[in-house]
Amino acid sequence: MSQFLSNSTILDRPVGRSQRSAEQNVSLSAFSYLFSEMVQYHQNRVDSVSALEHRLEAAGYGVGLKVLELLAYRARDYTRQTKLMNMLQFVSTTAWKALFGKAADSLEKSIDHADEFMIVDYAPITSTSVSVPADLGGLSVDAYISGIIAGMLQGAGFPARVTAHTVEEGDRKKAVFLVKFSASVMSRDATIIG
Amino acid sequence: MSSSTSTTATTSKTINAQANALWQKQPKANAEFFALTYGALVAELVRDLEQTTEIQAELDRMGHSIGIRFIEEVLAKAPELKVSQQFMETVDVVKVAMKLFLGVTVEIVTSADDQYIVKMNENPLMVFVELPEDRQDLQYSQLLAGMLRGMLEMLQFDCDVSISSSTTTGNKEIHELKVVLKQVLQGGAGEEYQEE
Repeated sequence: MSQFLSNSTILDRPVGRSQRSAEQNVSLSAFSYLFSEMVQYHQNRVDSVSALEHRLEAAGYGVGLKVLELLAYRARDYTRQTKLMNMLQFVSTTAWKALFGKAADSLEKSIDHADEFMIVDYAPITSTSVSVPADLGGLSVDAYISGIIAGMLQGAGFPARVTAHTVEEGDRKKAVFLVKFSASVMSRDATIIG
Repeated sequence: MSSSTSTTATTSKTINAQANALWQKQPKANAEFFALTYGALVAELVRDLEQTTEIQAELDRMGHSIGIRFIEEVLAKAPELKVSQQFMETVDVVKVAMKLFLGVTVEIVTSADDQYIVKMNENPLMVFVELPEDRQDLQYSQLLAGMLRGMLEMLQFDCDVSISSSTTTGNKEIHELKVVLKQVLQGGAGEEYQEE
């Protein structure tokens, strides 16, 4: 058997199970500049704000799927979330900490819609160093993070539509990621005991 | 061009210590998230452009755009860095820049009067990456090469920066960038940075 595996591939390299490699950092500048180039690249290829946001979401989606796998692999107990609230907790605390260095500022449930939840972040890494010119009003580059959340939820079996909104609160702004689960998720969750 | 002497060049240890101190103060972002974001970008380029040469050219162009801006941050945070007309003294700037950008300590080896090799023991961009069989010739980290090229250009040195070794070419364990000076650019914006 081993003669077929003579070439060392990426699967042979440790993916970094230790916390140390998970916590390695680059500069915030590096991320900001990279993200800025990414946004500009997409911007040159589309002609509407919503198309740009879609592209950023799509980019984030793939990342979300991978992040889910990586975090699930790293968690000692390999637990797969089956309850909706537990999954949302996972996203807003564990995943947020892994990606952004701290848990999300809050996780809220919508009063009006049973299938809607909000993850709030006061300073999302994607928009803190970005200023949107007036002619692109309404653009939220946080769409990239929406995509990541959507990818993670989809990968875990909780398909949802995720959108990023900037909300003013007093004299500061916060990013609100609105998560709207599909009907199948809601009905399934109602049947799970626990 | 004279090679730098021990009286003018800061020692390697001093520069590394300086770079480390500056790194401590840098606001940080998660390296894996950075790597995954870069991966998403490269994947997009592969989908849109298909030709390896075009993908690399685009990565290089993006890196260049980052480099010409990032150098400002480096020089602002490390005002004690000597910016001069001596090409070999850019070595110190590159060391500090790589540390400030990626948190990576690089070793620089001079291979001739007008060239040096930047060696990285680790490359945060490639931590999850393996190139498929039909893309083995893609220099995945070309963005870094473009970035160095852009930074050096702002320091008035027109250089060729290429990836001479990575996990797919050359010595597979080390990531290396080769910097070759083409010409010194004349005057212009660089003058206020230069010391008499």
